[in-house]
Amino acid sequence: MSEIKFPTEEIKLPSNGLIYHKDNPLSSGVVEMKYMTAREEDILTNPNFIERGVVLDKLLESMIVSKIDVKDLVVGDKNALFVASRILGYGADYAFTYKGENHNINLSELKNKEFDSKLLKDGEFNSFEYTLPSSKVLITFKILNGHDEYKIEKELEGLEKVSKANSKPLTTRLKHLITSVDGDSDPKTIREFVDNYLLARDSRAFREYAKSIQPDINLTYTLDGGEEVTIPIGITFFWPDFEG
Amino acid sequence: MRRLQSQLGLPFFGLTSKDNTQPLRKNLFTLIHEIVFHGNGGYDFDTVYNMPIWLRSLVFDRIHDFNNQQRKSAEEGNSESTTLIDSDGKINIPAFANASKANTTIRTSKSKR
Repeated sequence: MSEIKFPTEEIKLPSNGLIYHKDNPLSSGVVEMKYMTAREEDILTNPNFIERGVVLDKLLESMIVSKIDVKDLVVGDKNALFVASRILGYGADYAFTYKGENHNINLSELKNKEFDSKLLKDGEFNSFEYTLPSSKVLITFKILNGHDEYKIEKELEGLEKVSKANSKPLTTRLKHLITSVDGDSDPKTIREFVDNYLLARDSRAFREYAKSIQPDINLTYTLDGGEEVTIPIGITFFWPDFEG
Repeated sequence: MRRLQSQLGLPFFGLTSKDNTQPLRKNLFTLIHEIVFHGNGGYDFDTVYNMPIWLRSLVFDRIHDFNNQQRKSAEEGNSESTTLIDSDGKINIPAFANASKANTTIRTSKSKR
């Protein structure tokens, strides 16, 4: 039987595609997605995918129509696509509980965080500069994508095999995030800098800065009392029929 | 077992075991079966499997409403009809008398001749 074609939607990426190489289809800043079907629900309830921790990536791979590699996506763009897939599957109404109170929100009203493309290093994609506030060392860094996350995970698994105490998720992540230290992009220099010279207060300031500039979808919601909260993503986000 | 981590950088609780996926999978495939089975041959498994969720819900609700309506009208029709023989096998005399009056072409032994 020939497959029936259903309409698709174009989803705008928070990065506007500016942090991808111009040869990458993601540089267009939009991704075409199809509506969620039983095929995707089948993926979402696949025990094997859940156990391997790949269920959400498999979901995106199935829903994205554009010829892209899901692993090329940076985390913030991926987040926007997760919200879009929830809307295309189960609608925009999302209920959550915060401090014992029930709240209902319309996910389609969430906006992308403004991404300041001027922060990109001249002539380069996905490269930013930052001067550490205490040591005044100039570093360049990138926003991590799926390939980087995979490498980090493998490295952490390797470290854990050696010894549980050896697992250093924070510094491992920093070593992948930083691309040069004072103009030196040798991985050995970067690793040594993170392990021995990066001050705790510089590390914290850098992580906060990197988080603040990365393109993402804004998941903050203002409660009736004026309090701003980050929308908790619970089990009913992708499994709305789940009962306790 | 690997913990399902949030891609959103937020507290995230996903399904974690076969125990909580099984009821959801059963519901999903039961729903598809209901549409295929009660859809009067209008839908096959592949069509329903690849149907957007909103459309599948709409189709299911329409089939459900239609079947409910059919059942209701069948029940109403049944309540108006009378039987000449009771459930215990005895003749329902009033119903039999009414039916005899209404029937104008009752054959008698004379007419046979």
